[in-house]
Amino acid sequence: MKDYKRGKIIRLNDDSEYLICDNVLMKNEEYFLLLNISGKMVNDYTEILMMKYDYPKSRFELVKDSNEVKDILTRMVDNS
Amino acid sequence: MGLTFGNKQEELTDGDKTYIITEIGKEPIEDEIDDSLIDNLDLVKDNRSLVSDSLKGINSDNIIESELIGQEYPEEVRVEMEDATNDYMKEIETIEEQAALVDAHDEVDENSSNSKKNEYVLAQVDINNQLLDVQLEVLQDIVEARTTNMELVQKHMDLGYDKEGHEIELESAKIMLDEYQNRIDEANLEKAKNSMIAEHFNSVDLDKIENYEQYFNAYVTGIEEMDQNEIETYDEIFTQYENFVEKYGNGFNTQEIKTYIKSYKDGKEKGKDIEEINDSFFEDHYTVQANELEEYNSEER
Repeated sequence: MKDYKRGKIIRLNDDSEYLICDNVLMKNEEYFLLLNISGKMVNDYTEILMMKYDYPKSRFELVKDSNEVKDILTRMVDNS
Repeated sequence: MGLTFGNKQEELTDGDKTYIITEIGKEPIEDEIDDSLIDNLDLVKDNRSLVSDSLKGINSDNIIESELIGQEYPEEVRVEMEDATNDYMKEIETIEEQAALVDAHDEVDENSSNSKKNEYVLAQVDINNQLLDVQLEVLQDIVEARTTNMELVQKHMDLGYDKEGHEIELESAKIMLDEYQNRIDEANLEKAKNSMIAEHFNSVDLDKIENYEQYFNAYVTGIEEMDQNEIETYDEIFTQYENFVEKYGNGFNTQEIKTYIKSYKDGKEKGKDIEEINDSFFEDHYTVQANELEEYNSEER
């Protein structure tokens, strides 16, 4: 069983590793704030990433829209 | 709150690129005593998110959807919905203050007595249960609001509006209903584990525990791995392990208790009694340790 939540560490197949710092469930998606803990930047990525799990589509996507990122970060801060 | 999967390999898409995600573990916070407060603060956050993002969001969708089919929500119903979410937020805040108060007043550290440490964790377990109770109420409200939402969407669709869009919406709502149901099951499982932890630590002989942190960490780390139907057996296994530790003089170790649970289950299936299980665990355990030592020594040379 996998359990994606705060405090868990995931690895992508390009060898980059991320700590899940926060997660928030929205209407049909769950967002995850990831901190790169690889000690090196991979591709053109930054230290912090956001991915979302789209429940109806059953898949993870990288969130790149800056307004979407901003909105989710605001909600994460509001709930803390 | 956290997404749970089966054994399916998960992928992350980034435009044309696809990455494979592997879960490799947990942030190494070994101390379950410290973790008990962090867990509560996480649960506070989850509860707030469920009220403000999920429940409020679905309620407002329902108001819009019912207006579209000409069934406006009466003012008093809107006020009731608003009051209910505000009450949940106040309740969460009150419990959060309690968690912080327990943390601030007790000032438990490694030099505190076993009874002081025990009092602290039992207070945090109680707060955890209060937060889970709120979460269960909120989740039930969300399930009801989602069900109403599906009925409204269906009515709107039956009136001939945007069949395709509404079908997708209904499909998504069904998937989310399952997800909320999973969360209800998870919260109930957590409550059952908390009750077992409280029962065990309320009756344990604190004078016999040499290292409270090791003991607590081992118990909690082990119970976290259990399913609903294994909780009571787990407590029995742990007590047997406690006997094993007493007899063979080992310290409590979270990794060891996991190995012991496996040996216990295997042994029981083979019809072994507890003495035999403990003896063979002792033997296996020390054989492994001896082998590791031998390997280490040969590398050194």
